[in-house]
Amino acid sequence: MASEAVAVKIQEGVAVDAVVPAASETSAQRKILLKSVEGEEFLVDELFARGSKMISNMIDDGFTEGAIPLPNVTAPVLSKVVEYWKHHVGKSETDKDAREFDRAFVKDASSSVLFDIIMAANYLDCKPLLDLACQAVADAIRDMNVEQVRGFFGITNDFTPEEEAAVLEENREWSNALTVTGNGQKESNEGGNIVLP
Amino acid sequence: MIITRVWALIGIGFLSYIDIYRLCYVLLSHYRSNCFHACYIIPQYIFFFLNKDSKTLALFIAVKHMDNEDVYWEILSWLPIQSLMRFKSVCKLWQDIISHPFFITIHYQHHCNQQETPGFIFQYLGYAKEYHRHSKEYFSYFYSIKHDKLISLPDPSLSVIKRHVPRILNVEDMKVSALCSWDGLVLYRVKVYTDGFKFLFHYLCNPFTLALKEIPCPDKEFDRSSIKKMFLIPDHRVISVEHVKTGEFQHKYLIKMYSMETNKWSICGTAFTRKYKLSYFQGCFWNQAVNWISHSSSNYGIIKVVVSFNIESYDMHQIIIPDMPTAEKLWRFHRDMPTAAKRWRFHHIGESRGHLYFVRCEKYYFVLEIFEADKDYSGWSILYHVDLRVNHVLKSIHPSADCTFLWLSGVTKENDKLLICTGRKEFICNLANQTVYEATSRLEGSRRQKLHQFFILLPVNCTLISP
Repeated sequence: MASEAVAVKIQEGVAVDAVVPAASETSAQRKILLKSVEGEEFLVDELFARGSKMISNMIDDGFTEGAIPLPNVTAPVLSKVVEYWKHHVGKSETDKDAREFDRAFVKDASSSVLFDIIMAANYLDCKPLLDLACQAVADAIRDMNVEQVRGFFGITNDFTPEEEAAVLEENREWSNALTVTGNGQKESNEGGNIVLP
Repeated sequence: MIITRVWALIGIGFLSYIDIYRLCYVLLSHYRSNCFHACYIIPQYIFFFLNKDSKTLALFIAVKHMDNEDVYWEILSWLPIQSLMRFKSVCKLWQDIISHPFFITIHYQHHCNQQETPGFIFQYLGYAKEYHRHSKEYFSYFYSIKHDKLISLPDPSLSVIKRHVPRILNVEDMKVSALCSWDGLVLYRVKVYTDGFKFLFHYLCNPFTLALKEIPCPDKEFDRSSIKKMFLIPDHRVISVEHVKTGEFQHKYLIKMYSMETNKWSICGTAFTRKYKLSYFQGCFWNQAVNWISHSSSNYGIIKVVVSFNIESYDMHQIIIPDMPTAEKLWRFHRDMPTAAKRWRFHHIGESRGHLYFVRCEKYYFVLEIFEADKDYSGWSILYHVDLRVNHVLKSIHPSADCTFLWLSGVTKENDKLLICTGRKEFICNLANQTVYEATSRLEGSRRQKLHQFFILLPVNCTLISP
């Protein structure tokens, strides 16, 4: 029932008003114009644009004329988000193609791209995409130690040495825990004193 | 919206973009989600007031370095508990997030699907170092099915609980064992042996975060009765069963419930009498009722039944388990025992996907059947018939008495697994295609094999919930 989504990048300056909506009545064929922060414009089916709750609310509030400006979403990120909508909106939750797309989507994404997608998904209020990107980042940092995580996010350590010692003491048993991997090798986070019986 | 317009006007006049962001963030920081959106609506207005075509690089810089708490909440809620406990020392913001009660509920929603068992704790008896060289103690490990990995718990012998036990003189031995679990919390029983006496304490503990709370023992209502069993049920309530034998074939039971809100024990319904004892080790919670295995007499002799006590309506129901032999001594006419009954050995009951199930296995072979029952107590339907006799992985193992099975149900039938624990090894069988593989959880094999093997398996969720 939904027509093929056509995301068309339109150069700035070209008259776009003629293309935008009044002709067709059904929401599946109506196209919404989304404008990234650099001014690049994307023409997206309304059905797919409704993948974002924020845009969906704007459409319902009557904001269909002209372009919807998205001042903190850049063009490459926006094109990725639109691609995500194409594969996910209107399909069931456990669709196999959708899951294949998800896996490919996050596999080659670098961390900065993932951050951008997370920020965009948070702004556009698109929960499935947000969950997907957050899970990918979580998988990346899961086995890191504290220093590596700080470097990854650019976080500065704001604990005083005493406070940090207090936190480590509280979680002392965890920092001593060993993880036994499949082939019997032991990895320990710190040289703990666990003696296996 | 009015506020944002005012700020926009002021912003143009006096402040740069970055200062506007920071001011707004500070002002609106107590409205978490609104803050995020408000900070982006403001530059939108400025954008249109000023030059539409200007490349707003300043905007970008402000966005990227903004301390985006929302995003950290989302990312952290997908991490497993081991990583979270480690990351508490990254920075103060992360420590606050991880300890926040709202975060705990989000984390629970993301990780704990009620229909699926993420892993189980197994406790085995090992040598303790504390009291004397030959005293034994339970050590626990957590096996995660999803990652197929053995994770050692932060406190394998639960010394945290031992420190909480009130001081008693002349303690000879102290053992901590897990009774049951629900929702990521485990009910532990501490037995303290001293001077010929035995003291019992019960604690509700999260084995991952080691947050614990003591559950007081209920008062006994009858003379010479004993508290036989404690169960943990949803919403952090505990059920205790008090039993007194009032005659040859008369056993009186009283069920009490303890709730965390009132911190008190209250009696459920009235005491009931049964001819045969309830078997405490074969019990589970299902359909708002506590279910146990027991016996009952019928026209065909003594049969095994599931006794179900509903804790809300205080009703009792009975479901007959078909073709099951009872303990040999109760069966008087064993020559006439049906052949099916002679072949099968009952194993355990439990709850999964909203149904009550029971597992039975053949006495001498790796053949298992899993049945499930519906909420209308109408009867059993067979779910799986597992025949692993010709499986090459299991060929070297003889199914003797110390072999345990545990059915781990997944979200759908495809994910169902069967855990087979012999004294020395664990195997997992994929019930969808009946393939078996050895679980990669290997403890320091040599030491473990020398000990007497007795262990408890407990399916457990990993949560951050505190009792």
